[in-house]
Amino acid sequence: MNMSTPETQPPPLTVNTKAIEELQSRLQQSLALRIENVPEPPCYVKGQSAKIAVLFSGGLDCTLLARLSHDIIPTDEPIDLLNVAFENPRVAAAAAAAASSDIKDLNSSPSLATVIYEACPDRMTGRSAFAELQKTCPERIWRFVAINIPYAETLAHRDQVKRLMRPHNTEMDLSIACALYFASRGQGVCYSSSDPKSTEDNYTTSARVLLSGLGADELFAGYGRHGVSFSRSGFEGLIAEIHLDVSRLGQRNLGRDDRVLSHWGRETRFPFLDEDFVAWTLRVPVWEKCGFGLAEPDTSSDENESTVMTGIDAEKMALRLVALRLGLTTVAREKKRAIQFGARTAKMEKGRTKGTDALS
Amino acid sequence: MCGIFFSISTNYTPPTEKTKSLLENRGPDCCQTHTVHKEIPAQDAVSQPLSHHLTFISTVLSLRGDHIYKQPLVDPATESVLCWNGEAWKISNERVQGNDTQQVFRLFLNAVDCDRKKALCGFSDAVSSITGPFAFVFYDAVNSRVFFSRDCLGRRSLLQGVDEDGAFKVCSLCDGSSSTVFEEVSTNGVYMIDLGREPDLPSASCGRYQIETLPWSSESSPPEGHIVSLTKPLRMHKKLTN
Repeated sequence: MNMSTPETQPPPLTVNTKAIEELQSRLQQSLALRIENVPEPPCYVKGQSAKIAVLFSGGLDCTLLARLSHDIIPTDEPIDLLNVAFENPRVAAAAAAAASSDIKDLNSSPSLATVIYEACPDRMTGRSAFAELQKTCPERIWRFVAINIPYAETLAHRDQVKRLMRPHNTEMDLSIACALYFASRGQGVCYSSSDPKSTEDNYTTSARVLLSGLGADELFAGYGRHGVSFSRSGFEGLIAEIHLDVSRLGQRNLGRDDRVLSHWGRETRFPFLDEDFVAWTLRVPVWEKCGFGLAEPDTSSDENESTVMTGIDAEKMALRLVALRLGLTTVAREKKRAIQFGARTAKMEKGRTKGTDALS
Repeated sequence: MCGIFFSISTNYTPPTEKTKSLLENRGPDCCQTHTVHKEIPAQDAVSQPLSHHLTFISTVLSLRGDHIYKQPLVDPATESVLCWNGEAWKISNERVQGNDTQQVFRLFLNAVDCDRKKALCGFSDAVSSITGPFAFVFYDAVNSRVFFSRDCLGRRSLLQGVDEDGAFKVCSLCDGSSSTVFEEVSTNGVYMIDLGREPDLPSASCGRYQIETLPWSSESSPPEGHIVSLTKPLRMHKKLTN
C-alpha cells in the first residue's frame, strides 16, 4: 500500500484530475469482466428480460456501477435496480400515531402501507437515483424494482435467514442478512422507464447476476471514522485507518452475505473487490482517493467550477467526481448509510437490543 | 452461484436433507454426488491400513459457457475430483474465455502431476494464479490429498466443521444441527488433508484429521497483480499488531 504522506498541501481534486479519469477506466475494466458475456437466463426474452441487476440503495457506489454498466452492455438490454424497504413495526407505529390525528380510520387508508415503504431512507435515495439514471441515459430501459416487505413476511422468513447466515448469529448480522436476502429474491413492484405510467405488481427479476458496490467505502475512505482519524492524526491517521480496513477485507462478512444472497439462484459480483482494481487503489496516494486536507479549488477564475464542486464530501471524493463526470450530480452528493438503517431492518422489535447481541 | 459439500470419515457421510435442498437453491441447474472409498495399505509393520470415505456434492448455477457444465468434475485417468464455486476471470493474467471450471480443473491436475513434494508448492502457485472470487474442494487422487480454499478476499462462502461422529465437513453452508460447530474457512491460504497420514486423537476444530496450511505462493517475486500483492498488507498488519 502507498503509505506516503504529502510534503505540502495536495492540490484539489477536480473532475479533470488525471487520477479521476484513470479511476473511471479501471472501474470500467473490472465491471466489464463481470457483466460481459453473461449467458441468457431461463425464459429469456431479448429486449425484455434483464441479465444484470444492481443491489440498489440509490447511494453513490451502486448507482455508479449502474451508470457504468450502461456504457458496457447493449442498449436494448434492460437493467434492473433492486431496492428493498421494510415495514418496521416500531417506525410504523410512530408514523401511524402521527397520522391518526388526520386520518380517522387507518384501515380505510390504503396509501398508508405504501407510505411506510416510500418513507424508507433507501427508497427515497433509490427513487432519486433512478430518476437521475433515466435523465443521463434516456435510451436505456431502467427498471426500478420496489421490493416492499411487510413485517409478517420478515417474520415468516426469519428462521430461514438465520439458518443461512450461520455461524453468524448477532442482531446486526440478522438485520443486514434480512435486507440482502429479500433484495436478492428480486420480487416487487416494477417501475419501468419505458412506460412511466404503469407498474407491474408481481414482478421478479430474471437476472442471475447481481452487482454490489461493496468495498468502495474501505478503499476510498467512505466511513465517518475516516474523517475522525484525519482530524485526530492527519494523513498518517487516515492512511492507518484505510490500511486496517483493507487488511481486514478477507475477514469481513462476505461469507455471510454470500450465503443469504445466493439462496435465490443468483450470483452477486463485486466490481470494487477485483484484485487488479484493489491493487491499483492501494498504489494511488491517499490524497487522490478522498478529499481530506486538500487545498480549496480555485473558484476565482470559473464560477461554474465552484458550483459544480459545492457539497461534494471528502469521503470517497474520487468516486464522487467520477459520478459528476458522468452527470450524476445528486448521486455524487449522497451520504453513506448502512443498509440496515436505509432499509429499516434494524431494531424491528421493542426492547433494548444492541447490534452485537447474540440472537436468542 | 454454486454450492459445495465435502465430507471425509470412516463411513459415508452425506449432508442433511435440509442442507442439500439449500445447496440446490444456490445451484438450481444441476446437483450431483460423487463418492470415493480410499484404502491406504499399512506403510510399515507398526501402522494400520487406513480407510476413508469421501463424499463430494456440487450444485451448479450456470453462468459461464454455452451449456451447463456438470459438477463435481472427475478426471477419468486419475480419478481426481473438483467441486468449484467461483469465477476465474483470469489465470496467470490471461482472460478466461468460456467455462472456467474445466480450465481450473486442468490447471490443478497439471500442478499436482509431479513428485509428491513439488506438488504442494505447485498447487498453491496454481491457486494463486487465479484472479476472481472462489471457493473449492479438490481431491488429488494420485497423491491422496484433499485441498480446499477460498480467495484471499473471502468473496465466496466456505465453512468447515466436525460432526458428532467425527466426520470432517467442508460446505458452502452450515450442515446439520445448530450444535455442530462450523467456522469460516480462513482466507490466509490453501488447506490440505493428507489421507496417508495416521489420524490423530480427535480435536474440536478438525476432528481426527490434521489440516496443513499452504501459503498463497512459494514464489519470491510473484508477477504483478498476483494474489500475493493483496495478502501483503495482511501480513504487514499482522506484524504491526503482534
